[in-house]
Amino acid sequence: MSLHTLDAIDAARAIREKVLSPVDLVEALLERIERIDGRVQAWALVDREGARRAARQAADEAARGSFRGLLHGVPFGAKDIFYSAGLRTEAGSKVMAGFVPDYDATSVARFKAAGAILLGKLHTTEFATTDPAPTRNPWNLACTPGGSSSGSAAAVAARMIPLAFGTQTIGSNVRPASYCGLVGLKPTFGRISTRGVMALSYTQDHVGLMARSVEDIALGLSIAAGHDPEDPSSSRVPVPDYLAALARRRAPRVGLLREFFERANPEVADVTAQAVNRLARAGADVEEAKLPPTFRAVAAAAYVITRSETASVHAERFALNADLYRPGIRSSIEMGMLIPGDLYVRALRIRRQFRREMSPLLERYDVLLTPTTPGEAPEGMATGDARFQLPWSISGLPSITVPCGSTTSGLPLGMQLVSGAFTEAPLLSVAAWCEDILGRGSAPSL
Amino acid sequence: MDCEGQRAEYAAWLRAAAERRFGAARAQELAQTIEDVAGWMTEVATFPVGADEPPAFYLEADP
Repeated sequence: MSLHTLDAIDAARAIREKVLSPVDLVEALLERIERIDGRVQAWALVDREGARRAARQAADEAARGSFRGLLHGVPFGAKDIFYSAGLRTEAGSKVMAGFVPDYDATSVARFKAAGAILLGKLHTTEFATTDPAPTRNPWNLACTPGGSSSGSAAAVAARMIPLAFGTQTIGSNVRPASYCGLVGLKPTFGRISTRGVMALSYTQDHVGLMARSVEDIALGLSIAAGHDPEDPSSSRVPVPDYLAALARRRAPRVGLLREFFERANPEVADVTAQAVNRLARAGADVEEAKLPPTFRAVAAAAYVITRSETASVHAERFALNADLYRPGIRSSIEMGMLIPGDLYVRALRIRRQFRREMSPLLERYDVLLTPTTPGEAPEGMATGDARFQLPWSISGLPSITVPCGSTTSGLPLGMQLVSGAFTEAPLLSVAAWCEDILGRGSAPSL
Repeated sequence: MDCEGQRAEYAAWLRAAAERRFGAARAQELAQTIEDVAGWMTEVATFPVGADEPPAFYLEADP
């Protein structure tokens, strides 16, 4: 097996068993990046020397039988809005050109403390909004990988890295993961600290994970999750053993959200329905579930909230450098400056009402199920349609995409599973069960 | 006021505010965005929210 195709958990195991050197793994991934990233353009910055240095240190420690944690010697990538001490962090924006943070985002620091090696920074749309990154979809270079976590999705899919951090404010982690044939998790709001991650919307920003298996997502979440006293939105809910939860996989009770199938294009609806039929034949108890009335208002509320908060996040920088902002983020900031405060607060009340109305539904089923996206990854630069992620971003509920098939043109499709707040353990267990039935995503040929 | 009237009122208000804050030329460039935002504002303003429903900033499930 080529080293660049190793999943994180297999690489970690091989390093611990001393049959794989972190130095060889890092070199294999750097060679892979050298060979294909000119076409994919996933990386904003590759820290070759830093990664080699960390790999040598990890190898020395492993040789002495000393392991820092679950990801000892395993490389990862982070979207270029995550602070990384000593490494340029530019958020895809001229506004941040040359910015070098002096500390790591908490999530990055937790991965490093667990022995992981930061290989570099991954392209993002400007400030994680809509102005596109240069990144292309490894399955078809004419198509977007999705966004805003464009580089994270493309790099993991193209076997340049096994595990990456993305973020999601509206639909930016789960959607690109699906467009690229990956597993992508947006955990509950507050589950992973957002300290050191450039904000877009204070009450809606989530750190997410992308990998090629549910097990790798569980591994990454085990390390990244947990309370951060430096992040006021960080939760104190105890972190369960997500890897142990995977051993409890069983056929779930599934609430099918028909409205999403009706809004998807016919091919996506059909492929997803076929996958649901396979789950049902394997024992899943599937029935249609009805969304509450407030679902109708969540898109408008989410956009009012994000525009208002984005304007606040960028107020000082925008006053100095408005002309450096690209058109999408610039108009978002400008409109956010104009939205009246009473409507912003009303949107926050709609959020709470929606969350409250969702509770009975989430108690009745293990997961709610939708197609992950209304269509496949579109051609061109625009990063696709985030409508199917938005309700779970505004409500802060955890959602995950697992590959469930592909279009006739060969682009991957995913199914999205949603569960109650802080129920990532059973959500991952159901996702793993679905992965067992549907099979894992394949690799693009590059 | 019906929803369409409310939306038109928000759009006019946003156009005027954009002209004051960003200038007439920039407000013109924002014309389509202003229409979109006016639509969202109308939906938020007219959707029935419980009188006792407080705003949600963060999840309240924390112990």
